[in-house]
Amino acid sequence: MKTSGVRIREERRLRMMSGFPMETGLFCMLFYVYVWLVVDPRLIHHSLGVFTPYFDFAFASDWEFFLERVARPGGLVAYATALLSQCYRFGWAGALVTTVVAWGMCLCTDALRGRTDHPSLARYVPAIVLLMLLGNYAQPLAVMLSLLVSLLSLVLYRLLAPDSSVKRVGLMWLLCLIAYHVAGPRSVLFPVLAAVDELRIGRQAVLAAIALLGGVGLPLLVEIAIADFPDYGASRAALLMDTGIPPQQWPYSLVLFALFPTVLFYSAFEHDVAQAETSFIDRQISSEPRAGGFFRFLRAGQSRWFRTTIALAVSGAAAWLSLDRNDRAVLEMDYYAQQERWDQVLEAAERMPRGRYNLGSNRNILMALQHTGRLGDEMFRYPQMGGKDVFASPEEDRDGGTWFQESRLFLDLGLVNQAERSAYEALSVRGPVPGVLLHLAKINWIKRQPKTARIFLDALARNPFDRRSAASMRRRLDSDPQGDLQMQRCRSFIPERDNAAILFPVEERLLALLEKNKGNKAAFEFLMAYYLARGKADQVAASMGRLADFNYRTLPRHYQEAVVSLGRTPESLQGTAYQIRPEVARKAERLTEIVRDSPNAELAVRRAMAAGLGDTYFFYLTFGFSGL
Amino acid sequence: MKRGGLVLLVVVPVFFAAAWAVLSRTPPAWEFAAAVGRAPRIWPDYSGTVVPANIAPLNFVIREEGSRFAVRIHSESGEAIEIVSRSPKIAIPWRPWKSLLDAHRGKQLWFDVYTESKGQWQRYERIGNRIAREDIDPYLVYRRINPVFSMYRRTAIYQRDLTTYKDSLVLDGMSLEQSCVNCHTFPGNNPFPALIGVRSSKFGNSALLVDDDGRVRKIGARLGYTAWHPSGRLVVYSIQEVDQFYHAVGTEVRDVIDWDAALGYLQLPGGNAKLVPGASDKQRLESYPAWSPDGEYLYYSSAPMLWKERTSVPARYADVKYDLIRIHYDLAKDAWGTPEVVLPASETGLSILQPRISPDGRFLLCSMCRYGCFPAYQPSSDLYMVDNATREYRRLDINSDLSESWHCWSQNGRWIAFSSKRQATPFTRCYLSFVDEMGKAYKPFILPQNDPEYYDSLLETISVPELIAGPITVPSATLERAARSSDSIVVEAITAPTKIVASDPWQSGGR
Repeated sequence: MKTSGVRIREERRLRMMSGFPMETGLFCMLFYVYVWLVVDPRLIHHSLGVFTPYFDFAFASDWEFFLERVARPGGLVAYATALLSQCYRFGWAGALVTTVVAWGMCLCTDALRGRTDHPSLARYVPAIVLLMLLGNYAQPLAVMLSLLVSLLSLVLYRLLAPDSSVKRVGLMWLLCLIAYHVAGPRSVLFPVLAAVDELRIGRQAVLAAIALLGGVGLPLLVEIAIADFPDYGASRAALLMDTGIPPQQWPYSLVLFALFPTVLFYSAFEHDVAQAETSFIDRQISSEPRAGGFFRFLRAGQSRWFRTTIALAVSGAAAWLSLDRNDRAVLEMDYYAQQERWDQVLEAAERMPRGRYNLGSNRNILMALQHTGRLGDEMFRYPQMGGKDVFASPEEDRDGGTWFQESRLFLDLGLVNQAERSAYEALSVRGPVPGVLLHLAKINWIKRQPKTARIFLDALARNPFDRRSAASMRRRLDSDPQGDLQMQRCRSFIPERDNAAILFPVEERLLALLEKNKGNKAAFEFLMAYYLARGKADQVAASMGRLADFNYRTLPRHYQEAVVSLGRTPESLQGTAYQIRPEVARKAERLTEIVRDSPNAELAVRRAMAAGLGDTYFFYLTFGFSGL
Repeated sequence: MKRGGLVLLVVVPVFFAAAWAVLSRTPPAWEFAAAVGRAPRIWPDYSGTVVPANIAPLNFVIREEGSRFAVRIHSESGEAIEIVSRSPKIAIPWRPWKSLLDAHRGKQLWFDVYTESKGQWQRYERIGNRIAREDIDPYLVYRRINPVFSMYRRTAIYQRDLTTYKDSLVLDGMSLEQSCVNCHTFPGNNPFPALIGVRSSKFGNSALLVDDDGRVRKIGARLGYTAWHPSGRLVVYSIQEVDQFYHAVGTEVRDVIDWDAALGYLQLPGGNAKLVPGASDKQRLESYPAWSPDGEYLYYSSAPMLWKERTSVPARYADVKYDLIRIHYDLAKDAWGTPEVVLPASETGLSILQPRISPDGRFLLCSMCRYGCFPAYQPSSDLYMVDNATREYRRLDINSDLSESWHCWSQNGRWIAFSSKRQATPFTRCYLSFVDEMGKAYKPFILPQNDPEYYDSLLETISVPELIAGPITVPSATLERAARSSDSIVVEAITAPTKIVASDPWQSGGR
């Protein structure tokens, strides 16, 4: 006569070996399409090193990298996370990885319940949480893979568990150790699940307690015995903390960790509930033949599709509502700016919710405007913040991507040393982001430091996904130390005179660039942008003499507005082809009227915007902001 | 039939694999190889150097075209080590290497390099090195860190067993919430008592005093550049108000300025901190203390303070040049003499920094650069040898056109380890060089690694090398616990003429 615990375990073995529900296919397909086309995994990959540090996602295909990770607890999951994260460079591949993980979660939840033939809504919860995290541009792969390891350990335990209690404890501890080594401290979920399982199936409280204590304590003891101290990267990492998930999203991890013990606990009662439900439906059908259609529908197994429909609706709503459109636009802008696709930067800027601009997005917009020849005309079409310039971000405006962004701007201008400094800061703070390595190689090439450039390219080539671009640049570096035209142009901008400073002296450095090469249009336009943003209209006017060095067909609108705001035409403009257009002067007059006639500033702002003056320099000078 | 098929399935691939392995390692017919009239390109450059007999195998990569590579390593007599490989990376077996070097101290060490191309073996000109009679200290303690501009994430101190490739962690700043673990100092070349500096926003600035009995005590004070008195009873340290600034042009972007600096000392255990009279002049900047081996003299660098305002980089920042000074000390009486100029900057035209005296007291090795207090950021920084008896100085031949700094002597005075950016600035690497009785330094070689291409993609610096006679046996967990502890030796604040607020322009960043 077998005990009930043994019988239940045997039943489970049979169920787990049976097929998996087909509804999952539909769910996964929609999941995949949403992640690929709406979330865009390329942006998640780009967010590594911007929103989150890159260290844990840097990947190398050499043995040293693999062995170093395999040797430490959690290292295999870390290795898999780093490898799979590289797939996110390609939208379709990233979506595929995510979908497979979500699918695995669904299956494991079913297996946890021991009811693969009768899926519940709970099976979709991990996938929904995953969607919400992705919608916030987090990279929760490490957490997800750790969870999968714990869940698979439990599945394995159920499949292999012998009947003898002593042997079961032995197997459990062995699996605990393995799970700990593979997934690190997050594998603590496995002993917790195993304890719950033992408690509710066989009512074996002692076994459950041993499972819990041993499962939690044993890996730690082994690690202390072997390594003398727990590795800081693994053992001390808190359960929920993960570098791929920003702190504000850690509650999502909590939901995931709490979900599985809850599901397991609940499934103990589920069998009874299901039986009661079936009896109730049968009673309804026999007592009320006319109302029996709905209940027949449920009994006929259609409820599975009904539940799937609900799951899809809930998932869709959760995904749509949790999608952070602001972060998406910020990342999109930065992604395109890094690839110098300036028109697309400005297109993305249009999609950004107004009022959510930060200095980082502004920097990308200004660079895009400069490259498309619109900086002097459209700068104030976008929000500009008085007192904050794009060259030295204050601490509160810094994120991981700021240093790299600044570096790109500095290099564009010809401030190579400043670009080098910012790029090294990015490397220190956020890790070996491939774009930063390539950028540093370029900087050192420009600085005629090919040996240093090669170190960056060799470091880049350790990642198989970057090997081709590293090899290509290395070939060019070896064959042409001078570099391409862009590099030679940049080199021609580098100032000759040194200027040592603790803080970056914007005006001095931009003027030094123009002193070295008066044809450095980017330096001139950013100098003018700096003057405009600082409200130095007189300096704008005083710089008009430099216009002759550039081939402007007409005087850029904001320069005209600065001149008009002074109330006089500078001598340098007199006798030139550059004119102040009458409508510019009219706009100034109109704004003066509005301000004069409005009882308060708020109303004046609204009226000025309604009059189409929100993108003028006059508006910015008057109210201290722009771009509304 | 089924079983026979299975056996074939296993045996045939195994046979081919074994045959391939044997054939690919078959040495060439050495004497028939065609001669190439030049030396092979190998990396790291282990040619023309002097190597210690107790060094780990000098693995290298052959940077020549070829489908197979062969190397014969031998000396004037005895058996050669023969290596044939399909990879250009040459991994030298440890045991034969040890035997070869041990048996041929003072003799030549030859590398004969062969490459096979289109079935034809080529022989390159022989590469020669010399095996020194004197061993190098078996351990090297060094700092590993990203090139830091103003932000850092991880700083760590490691110790390397020079006789093997074993590298072990001494202390990791990451385990102390991204603290900076920077200076490490030893009395002479003894591993104990050691001092390890910790700068931590969470656990406070401290120095960890590590004894040979495994005891670690936390000194609740920030010690700058530190120098142990040979007696192990006293440390002298620098106190600096320091800032980092940046150059708009030039190879090196970073530069450092000491706004103010002085030397203090601490009698251990538990003594009060005092200023070194004469080395705490309000009008001067004193730094980089170093003791003579007999403990009679403290050597240091000192420069006049050329500024009053400290808000921006002073116009005369490039005029500051440090003299080499020494001051007498009587340990028994705790009495200091008067400062004496050993070598004035006016004579060298250069700033003289980081003095380190050879164990026999005969030579003083220092860095000299165009100006300033931080040679690691000065491409002009070179190593110079000063004869202590005649006070004559000369630039060593081992310098590169990039910065050389952070040097130390081995216990027997025949080796120096130093940091250099010659591979690629700003990546500092550690080099070892033999120094003969006359103070002549021989071509240095980079700290060998198991993977000869290790440095090619290493984005960290390996600097501040210190040679020691034995390992630091205290586990890093113990050091870490001590650094975290609130229990520390209280050092009373210095109350002397100079009031310097030690500052730190570097900060941790990133998770």
